[in-house]
Amino acid sequence: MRPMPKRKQKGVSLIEAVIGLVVIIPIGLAALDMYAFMVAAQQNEELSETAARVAATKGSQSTAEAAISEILDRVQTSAIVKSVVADQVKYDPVVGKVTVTFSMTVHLPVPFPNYENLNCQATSIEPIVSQPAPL
Amino acid sequence: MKRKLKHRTAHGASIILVALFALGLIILVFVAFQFAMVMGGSREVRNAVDAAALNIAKRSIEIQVPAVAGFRDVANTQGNVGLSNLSRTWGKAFLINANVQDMQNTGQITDAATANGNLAYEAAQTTNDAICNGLKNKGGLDNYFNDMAMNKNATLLGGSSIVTSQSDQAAQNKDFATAMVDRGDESNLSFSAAQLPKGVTLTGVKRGNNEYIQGYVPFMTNGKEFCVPTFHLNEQPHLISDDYFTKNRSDLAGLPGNPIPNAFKESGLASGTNNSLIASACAVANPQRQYTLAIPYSFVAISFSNQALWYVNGKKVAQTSYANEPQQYFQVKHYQPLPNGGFLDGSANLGNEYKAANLWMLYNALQGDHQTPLLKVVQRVQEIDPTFTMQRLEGLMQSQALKAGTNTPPVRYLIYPTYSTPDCTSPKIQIADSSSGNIPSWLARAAMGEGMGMAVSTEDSEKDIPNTCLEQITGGKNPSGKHWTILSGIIGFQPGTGYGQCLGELHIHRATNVYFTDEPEN
Repeated sequence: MRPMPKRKQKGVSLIEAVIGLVVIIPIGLAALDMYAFMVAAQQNEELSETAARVAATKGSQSTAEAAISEILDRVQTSAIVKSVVADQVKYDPVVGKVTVTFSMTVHLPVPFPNYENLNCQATSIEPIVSQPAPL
Repeated sequence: MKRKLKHRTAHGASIILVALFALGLIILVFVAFQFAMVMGGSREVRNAVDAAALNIAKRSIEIQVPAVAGFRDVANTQGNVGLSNLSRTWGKAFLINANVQDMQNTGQITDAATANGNLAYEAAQTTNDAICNGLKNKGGLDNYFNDMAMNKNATLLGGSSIVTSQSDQAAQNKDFATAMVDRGDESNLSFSAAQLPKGVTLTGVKRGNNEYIQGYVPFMTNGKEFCVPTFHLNEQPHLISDDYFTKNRSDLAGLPGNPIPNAFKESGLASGTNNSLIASACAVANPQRQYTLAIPYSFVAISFSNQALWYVNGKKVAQTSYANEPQQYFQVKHYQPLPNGGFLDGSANLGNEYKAANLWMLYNALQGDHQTPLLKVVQRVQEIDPTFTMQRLEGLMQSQALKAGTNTPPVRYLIYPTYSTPDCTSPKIQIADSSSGNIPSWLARAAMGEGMGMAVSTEDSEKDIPNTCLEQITGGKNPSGKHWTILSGIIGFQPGTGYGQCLGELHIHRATNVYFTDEPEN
């Protein structure tokens, strides 16, 4: 009987390393994307909260919008945060609350196909504190 | 037999390592994700509790009680008193008691004045206590908290994660945790030192052009202690630190007299799927309304009375009053016996001082110190409008035509405010005679000052000016004798507390002595 030819060991580790990297690298990149998105989402929430608090100190819808516009003007976009816009500024003196919704477009550092940009929304509600006591 | 050892190959070793590493990485990512969720949830709870606590501070002005009798003029449009305008109630009670103190200082005090001072203080304290109870009522304030918190769920905690108010463990008897912060800073009640009666003082804080009563610093008059809350000028309700709140807690660092609080603290709990988080926040209220120390529904009166004293040969034969217009009075008729025989008829033309063109001229019809009495009037009117001045008083009196044709003196002129705002701020000081149709319906025309009247100034006597007399002797040696008139005046001030609306009355009492004799004229 003819003995089985002995398989060469050369390259096995390389193949295993490649396979390992194929598994690990996507996980790492996905984690990076997730981290970037979460940081951006947190920034968006803080921004909308700040904007709502500022708007709550204003006396009308127009002044609230102007204040929020100023805040948005100061927002510095980056490779990750592409844009921030105010979807909604609702200054309701009857209810006594101001509602601010911000949308942030986040460009993922390692974009997936068809998922280069993600949109995150944050809504903040604050009591309007600018209204003096009624006469 | 020598067993042949199996040679373990390295096949698959890297795969296992990769799998372990990948698993570790996944776990790490998962933990990081969970941590981020908790941190995010914590932030959401904090934001929700901040907004909810701020809502309490903002809406605390809605806790109101109806104004007690006599204090409707310092209430809001609905007739209520709350955190925003309680200082007006205390201010009015203070001024009433300052007027009582003034009467004590000048020896013009009466039982009625003392009683009204007590009533005013009790009314303010009752109102204060009722509002204070409302501001410490947990059930009521938690509605404001939850009304805002329900809009701000901590979604990152998972589940419903609704933030709801928690009982404050530090507070007892279900009282809300409240504080009196910014002690010694300005209240929302401005005043002018000039509007206070002589001998009454008040420490204030200067802000801009106005001086404000110090908040949470008790001040006294008439043996009574007053205290108003602090509300910073040009400030809105806002969050404050927990340390600052705790240092000024109502239950730990209270003040006498049960002052109302101006800051509130509440905790909120959010229960998520796996986590529950608690956060607390403190906020200070500010009604953003400033008022002036005043007794809005009140007035000052100026009255004139006239008297004629009739003398024949130095003996008083009659005492009458005369009208506030020139008239001829035939008061001495067939007076006898005269030393030289016959009888005497005497008449006088009285009321000529009322020929003055206006109230100011009537007031100054005789020579004398007219300024000192008017200072008392100005001070009292300043209790209605602190911006009132002597010049404005002069202008008012000059604009007031005299009420002629009445035979029922004294003639009374009222200096009173009118208001275009429903909460009786921004007074416009007017003057009218007491029977005028222009006088507002709230004004109690017949109200008098409770204090004792006291002469402030005397007017110089005038002989035969402006009133004159005539006499005729029938059957005597001479057809006529010496005759003359002396017109003199006393200006007195009867103080009022303002509790019954009257802050005081300046009374000008003019007397014309009419002298007849049978001594021959030169």
